[in-house]
Amino acid sequence: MLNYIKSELYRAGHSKEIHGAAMGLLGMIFFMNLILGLMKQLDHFRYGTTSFSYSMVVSMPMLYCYVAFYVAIMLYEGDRRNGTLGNSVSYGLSRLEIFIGKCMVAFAASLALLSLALPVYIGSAVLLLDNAGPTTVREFLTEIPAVSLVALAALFFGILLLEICDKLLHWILLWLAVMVFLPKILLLAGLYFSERFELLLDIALWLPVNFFSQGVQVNMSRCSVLWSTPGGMGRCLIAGGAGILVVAVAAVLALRKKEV
Amino acid sequence: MYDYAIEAKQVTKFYGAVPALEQVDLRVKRGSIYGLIGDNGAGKSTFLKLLAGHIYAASGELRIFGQPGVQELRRCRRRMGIMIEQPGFFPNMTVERTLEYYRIQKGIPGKEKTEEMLVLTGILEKRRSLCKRLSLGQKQRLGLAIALLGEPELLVLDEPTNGLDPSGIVELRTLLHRLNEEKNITILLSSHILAELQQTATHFGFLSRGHLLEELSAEQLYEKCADYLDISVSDMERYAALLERDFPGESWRVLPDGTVRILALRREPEAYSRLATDNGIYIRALERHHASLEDYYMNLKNGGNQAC
Repeated sequence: MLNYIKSELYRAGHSKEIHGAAMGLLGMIFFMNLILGLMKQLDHFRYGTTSFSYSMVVSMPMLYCYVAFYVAIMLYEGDRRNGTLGNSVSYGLSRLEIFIGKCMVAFAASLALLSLALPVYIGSAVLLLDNAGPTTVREFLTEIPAVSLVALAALFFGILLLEICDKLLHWILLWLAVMVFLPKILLLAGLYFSERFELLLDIALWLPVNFFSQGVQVNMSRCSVLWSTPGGMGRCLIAGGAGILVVAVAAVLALRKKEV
Repeated sequence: MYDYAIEAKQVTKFYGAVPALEQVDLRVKRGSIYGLIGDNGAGKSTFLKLLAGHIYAASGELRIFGQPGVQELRRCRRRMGIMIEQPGFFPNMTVERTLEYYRIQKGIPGKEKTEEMLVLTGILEKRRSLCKRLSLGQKQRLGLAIALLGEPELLVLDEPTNGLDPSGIVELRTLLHRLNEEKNITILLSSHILAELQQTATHFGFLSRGHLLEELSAEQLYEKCADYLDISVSDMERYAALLERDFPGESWRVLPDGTVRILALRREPEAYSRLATDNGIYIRALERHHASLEDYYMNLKNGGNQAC
């Protein structure tokens, strides 16, 4: 499996798609701050601040999950179609070993992407924008450990679905259903039946998309984030850890005798 | 050391309710070149996919180098080079990097191995081309290069001549013979081009509708496909009686159109023509045939068990 990880790292390091995506992401971040910086010269334009720039990410912790989702697509979407998965299986790797290897490489690629994006984000915001507003670099940076496990679970879940689903559309719909739509439906059901079944609402509020939307309130005058309290941070980490565990169990069960 | 590189015992595989392989017993001797023959849907690719671990058998036992069991088979697959259907590669990676990726994955030390494979399969000049820009034949060569990385003891190739031009086919045949003779690599290959397979394989297995009809060596096939003679004469009944009388023990039969077919020739064709002319029978036509692998396969598939 170590050789598989090495080969995947080699591929990720030489992949034009990954280089392109990284450049695109960095360019987008810089361009966004540049536009805000240029527009702050205009009268009545209140958004040329670091707070507004940071709040774009702080107010949407699920953004990290969506980026993880994109990393999974970028790295492994074509594996089955291209026949490269079949080659690795032919060489004697089990589907579970391949899955674990992919998770580790995708984690490393995401980390590399983050380590490039963060300095560009903060650097361009500090250099180009006014340092003002309620959302500070502290909220921005503490968001990363808070969402890390949830984003990893989302990434691993995406990779697992890629190993199972034959069609990309099914894969995208399934990922969105589990990560976004079903938790939202559960939340609505929980709110509707809250007087009779409190448990339903409790469960719904342990799902990331729900507790992030309920626990984060960011606007131009206020910044209140879930992870600023030990309880909120704990919820983020426990939910993420549980998510990783569920994905791991699902992977063992689903990939044990999964055919290529 | 185990005599067989591959041994399948009563292997059965279903796709849904449809049987793709039914109780197949197949053995590939070490050091042989085994040609797997069958129509589309006969089960060739299914069998090769079972070997590659892409799919699992519903029942039966599969051994590679004498090893059964899921874990052992996985370990044994590291000693195999496999190319099934279309070769697997990354469209936006160059040929050289693709091979390098697989070299790392197989844990083969030395970057020079990558170049060695490029030279061996004749795609060195394409090393910097993106895989998606290769022609079908070049893709096949790349697939072969991937399969050959790490000097496998067993090479499994599904339709390896697909897309190759005539000189590419000859080169591939030469390469396979060389690998087999010099490095003692066992080769299992399937092909629709039976004439090509006849020139390459030392053993044959015939699959039809998921059943293995027969396994035989090239020598056995040659014996079974011995020469035969078709003679059309003016008086078939008298000629048949003369054959009975003068050439006892000869194997022959009368075809529906009145032609006499003499199987497994024991004499020169002149002897059969003289038999007719010496007895006042005119010969309308006389034709000597040699059955090909194709004839043999068609005959076998249609339920025949005689020489073609």
